Amino acid sequence: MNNYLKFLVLSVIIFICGCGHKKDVQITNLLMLKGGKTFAVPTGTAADRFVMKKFPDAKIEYYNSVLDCSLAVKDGKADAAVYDLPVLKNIAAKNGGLIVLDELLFDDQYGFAVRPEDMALKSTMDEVLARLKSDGTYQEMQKRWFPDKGNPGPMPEIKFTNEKGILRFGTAAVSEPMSYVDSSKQVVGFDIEYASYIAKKSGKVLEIVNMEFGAMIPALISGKVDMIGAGLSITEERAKKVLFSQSYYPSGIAAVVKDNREKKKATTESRMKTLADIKNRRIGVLLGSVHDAYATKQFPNAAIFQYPNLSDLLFGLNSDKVDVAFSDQSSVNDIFNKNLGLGILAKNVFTVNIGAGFDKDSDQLRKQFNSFLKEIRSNGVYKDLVERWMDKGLEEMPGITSTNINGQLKVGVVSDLGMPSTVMKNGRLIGFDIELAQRFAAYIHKEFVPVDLQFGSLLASVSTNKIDIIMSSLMITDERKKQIDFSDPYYESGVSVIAKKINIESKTLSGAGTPDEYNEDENGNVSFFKSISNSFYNNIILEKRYLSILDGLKVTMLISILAAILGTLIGSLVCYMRMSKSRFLSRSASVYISILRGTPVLVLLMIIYYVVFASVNINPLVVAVIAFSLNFGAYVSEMFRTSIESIDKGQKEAAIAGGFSKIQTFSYIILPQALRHILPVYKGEFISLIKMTSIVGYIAVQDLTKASDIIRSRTFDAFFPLIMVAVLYLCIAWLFTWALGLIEVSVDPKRKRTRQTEEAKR
Amino acid sequence: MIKVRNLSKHFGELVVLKDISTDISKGEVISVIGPSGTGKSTFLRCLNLLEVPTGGSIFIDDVPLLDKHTDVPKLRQKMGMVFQSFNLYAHLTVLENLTIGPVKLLGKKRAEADEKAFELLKIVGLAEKAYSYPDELSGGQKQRVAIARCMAMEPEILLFDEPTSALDPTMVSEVLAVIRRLSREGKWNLQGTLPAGCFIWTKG
Repeated sequence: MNNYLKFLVLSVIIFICGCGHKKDVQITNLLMLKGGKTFAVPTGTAADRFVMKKFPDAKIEYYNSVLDCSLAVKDGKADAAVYDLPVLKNIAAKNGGLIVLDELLFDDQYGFAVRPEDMALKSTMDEVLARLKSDGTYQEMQKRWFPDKGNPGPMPEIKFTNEKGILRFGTAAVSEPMSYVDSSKQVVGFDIEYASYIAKKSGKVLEIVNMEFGAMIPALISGKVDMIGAGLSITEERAKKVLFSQSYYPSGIAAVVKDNREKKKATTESRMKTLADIKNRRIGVLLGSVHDAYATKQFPNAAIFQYPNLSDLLFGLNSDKVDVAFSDQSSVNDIFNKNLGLGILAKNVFTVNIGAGFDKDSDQLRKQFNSFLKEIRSNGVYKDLVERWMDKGLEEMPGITSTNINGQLKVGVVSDLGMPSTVMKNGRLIGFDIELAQRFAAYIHKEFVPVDLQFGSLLASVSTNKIDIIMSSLMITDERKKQIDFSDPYYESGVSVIAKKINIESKTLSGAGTPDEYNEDENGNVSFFKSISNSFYNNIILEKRYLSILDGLKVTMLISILAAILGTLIGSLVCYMRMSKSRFLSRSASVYISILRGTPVLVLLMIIYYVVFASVNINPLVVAVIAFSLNFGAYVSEMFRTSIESIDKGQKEAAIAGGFSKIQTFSYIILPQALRHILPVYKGEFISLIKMTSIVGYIAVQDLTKASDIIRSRTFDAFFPLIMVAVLYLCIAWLFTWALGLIEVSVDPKRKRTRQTEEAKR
Repeated sequence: MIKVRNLSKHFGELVVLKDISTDISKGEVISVIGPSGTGKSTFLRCLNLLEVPTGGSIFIDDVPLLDKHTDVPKLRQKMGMVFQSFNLYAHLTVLENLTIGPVKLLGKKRAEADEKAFELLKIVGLAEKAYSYPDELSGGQKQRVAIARCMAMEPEILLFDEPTSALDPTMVSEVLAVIRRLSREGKWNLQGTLPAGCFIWTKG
């Protein structure tokens, strides 16, 4: 018991550590790069040598270009990229999400060079530099070529007077922003601007000679050019051959790191303004919805992610698994009320008609529904309905009584669809669709019987007559018309696209809050325990949501226990057949076992519900028990067989020879021993049966898992209901393990002995 | 008491027993001898139908064993069998091994069965092991319990299928001593030398 407690405490601690918002530490200085960090450097440069000198324990990864290095840092593949300061500054400004550290790995000075004898040009260069610095042009150049964000440039127009001929300037236009070729194929940059001023001062026209970096000094010495510069560092070695200007730019080898501060705030460029901006994004949709088809068709380049229900979809959106999500316009208000960080990108992308779905053979019911629609439209009931649910978003359900004289009306609903269509409140289904369905049931004097299904199973259920009518905001599409018939449309629904506010350009945000108002403390960093207790209240207490959980718990236990009992009986029978001398029996048992063990139980469940019992009115709970029993039976039978075969034959012979009949031999001698082998394995198999039952939601059974889905559809809280359900499953599993453990002890003869000896002593 | 007529047993092509006829009367001890593989065990196992004969007939106290209407388990209750490999029930204590037959098959009261079992255990010298489990006993002890288990059913015929061949020599004597003691105290008649190997022993 004590061990269980320790285990529990430990898991909670691990869990809390795991779910606390893990923030990457922002690297702000070189010291923080110590200790085996990964550095990205371009191949064929001296950057790796500087890294190794400064950080001997660094891991170095080589990339083809500086840009690739920086992107590796941005993606978190490397901790820092190391290269020349101006280049890194440029990349950081253009890409965002990166910070160039102020501290340098190595200091360096850039200078222009002329031939050693060209003292005149040398002094002009220094004069120009001094003037640029004093009249503020130098600051402008800094701003122009090293902007905080975006591309450098443009190059100002500088007029030359050509009284004294031409100044040939050799440069290697490959290091943006010092010297590079811009989009109009012109060589521009900080160096080019500086060179232009020098040419202007000396009364010459600047002629740019673009060459290889390594060819610059030889070209200067041989007189092909008069002056060179392209992020050229002033070194002693070079100074022996050429005459350098004063340093015009203090540079160095710098490191760029990921900018974690900016993580939450997308850069202006990455924000979305219109629907067109989502074409290359990750789009979340509901599985099998019209949105799905629309998004796939309209945005072929986008990655489409399909979610089984709205709460999962929103969780995906909130946790940046997708950039935008499609949703019914009618649900948007409810979503925003519970998800402060979300905003609307496009309000009405397209509209679709919503209708009730019927089997192709139920024309009469369809006609009844259509005339019912006409009636409520004419007498104002419909208007009131739309006003309450759609416009005001009230969550009140009027009491509607039906005479029930014409039997039942089984209505297919999706209890976790969300407001305003269908939700579970105080253990009761409410919503626009529900009220409409109830009114319709009353209209035709039938009893309203909701059948709670997964959205994806609705069509199959109505075509196999598991339900009479689908009332679940089902959009009328041509595709669906092939399978089922629709009523006249009873609502026209708009489809909206929503995204995180911080990802939406603020001008586009209508009404509620700008990105800046979205502050994290409101959502995430409230004290942990307070948020837990809030979650507890919202997910469990409010609207008596614990009722769903309790009902789900009962259903899960019921299915598990019944399936275990029935499955054990089936297993015994199959085991008997498998071990029988009759080839026919043994063969059929083998076939049964291999089929049942080779099919996913979910598929089996659906086959039994939709195919085997297609035209039979059967309680899905019964179907669930049957499906799980059959599956469990297959596993159990093999378990039994191996255990029985492990009992040595001699004991069986001794019993037979001693006068026991076959049945007596089995029950007195074989079974008690086989049980000891079976129980430990059986326990595990039973636990996995309990967990397997979590899929019964597919055939309209509200079990524990479905209960959490229902709650999540109300609260959009992914965390708490899931954790709670997980804990409950764990408890059930533990309870049954304990109970079976007691049985295990009772069949262990050695433990029994102490009791017997005590009896004997008395 | 036992009447065997033209008994034959084939395992597929292999003929193990061929046309055996014999009569065994009350109080006799019959040794079945021969080299290994000659069908001594098979013959014994045919007598209580652990092996179904291919042909011939067997009568136990004039009841035809191979007749469909014969209650074979009932007949077997009168014929104990001691195996080469002991075959004690592993999940039961020594005491329970002795009492399960009398209680479940002969309908004896538990107390009565216990009393008788202790009596037998005393004869085989294992009263102090009554609450032990078979895997806690030595080979010789196991075989002594197996013999006692047979005796507990108060049989009229005992079939010994090489009871000592799986034991080391020191244990053989203890088992044989038990058989001798039983013959004295259980009013079973055993004169002359103790037979080895397979033997059939009927109560006098």
